[in-house]
Amino acid sequence: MRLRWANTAAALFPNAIWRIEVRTLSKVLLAVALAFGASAITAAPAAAEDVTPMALLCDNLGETWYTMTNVSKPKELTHGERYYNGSGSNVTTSFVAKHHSTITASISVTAGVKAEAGTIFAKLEASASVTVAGEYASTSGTDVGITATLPHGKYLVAYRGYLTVSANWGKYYCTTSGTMQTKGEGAVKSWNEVPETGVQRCDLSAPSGSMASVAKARLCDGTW
Amino acid sequence: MKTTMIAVAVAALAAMTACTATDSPTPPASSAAASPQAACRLDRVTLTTGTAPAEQVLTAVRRIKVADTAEYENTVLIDQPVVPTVSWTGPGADTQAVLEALALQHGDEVAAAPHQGLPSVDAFLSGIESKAGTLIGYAAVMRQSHTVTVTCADGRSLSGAVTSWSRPDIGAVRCGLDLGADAPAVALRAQREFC
Repeated sequence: MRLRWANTAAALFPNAIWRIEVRTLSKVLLAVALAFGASAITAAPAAAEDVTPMALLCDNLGETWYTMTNVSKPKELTHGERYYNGSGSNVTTSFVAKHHSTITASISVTAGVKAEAGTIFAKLEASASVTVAGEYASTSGTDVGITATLPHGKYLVAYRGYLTVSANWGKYYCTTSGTMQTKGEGAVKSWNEVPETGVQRCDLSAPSGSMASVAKARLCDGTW
Repeated sequence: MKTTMIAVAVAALAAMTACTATDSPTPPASSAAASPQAACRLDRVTLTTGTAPAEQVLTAVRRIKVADTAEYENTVLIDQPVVPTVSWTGPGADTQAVLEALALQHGDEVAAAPHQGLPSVDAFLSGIESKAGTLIGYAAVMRQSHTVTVTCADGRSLSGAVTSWSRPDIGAVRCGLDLGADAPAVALRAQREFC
């Protein structure tokens, strides 16, 4: 596990150089191997269990940098309602998608202190290649109507949802003496400000991965 | 029993909430700042799905009767919105913040906003051709209670029962019309009870 962590950390912190503590005299040979660089760690997995990473060194002295990891972009519904037409004739009307939840752009902190929100959201946008709302911005809580036609004996769902973006953020600093410091770490979530609104007939297929397919899966299928 | 751990990333605005004892008198707004309770910054919210079956609740029913003479009767038979609540066992966290966190992660089971069905029913009925006979418009949701546990950033654990709604269903049925086997149970119920 430590080896995996070391590899992951090396990927996250390209500016860092590993400093390894050798715990016992019998591991002197390992220290010699490590002198050839971090790749020596991956070449000696058995010995890696016996070393403890103590600090990360960096060569970008005086600089601050951010990381975004575990970036995900799920589509989330905020509005939705299912309709059934048993009136005996086709119905063309405004189908209301009822508000049921609100998405709020937020930053949480798990280590250190909170970094500048504007920078974190800018990094999130760059990592996800999508524009997102700023901190504290919330999706609308107003019901929305969509005009459509529903034949007799059929179901449809009216929905609204948003593309959300979540990630883990980190802010790091390279001291003038070359030691990497963690300034802050946590999670960030936001949402793209363009809503996806529509209706989806329950007896018709929806494009895979679309908001319509999310709405169909959540609202059409049920035993009620 | 399904227990799901949620790592909640809640906006500080929503998360920094004063814990209040539900069995204590509500202090006047002007003295709220003097509350001895420490703020609870939500760190984690856990939902344990209730074991009791969900109950189908009609939140709105409207009946429209049109006689051959075009005489018109329009009656609201039910208008009872379902409002999500949390009943805290002892001190609690901000109910709305907890509901929003649950709704985002468990949208199939928990909604944060009230369900008021009549506007949706009326919008639907407005699109139906007016002809002689009786038409029933209905709104229904599934109402169910679950156990919620909140872990504050300072390590305190708060718990309660959340009652909310899911599966919002709107429909219209014409009295005397055979709806067939594909009709939802709630449509058959509306036809049976209100025609």
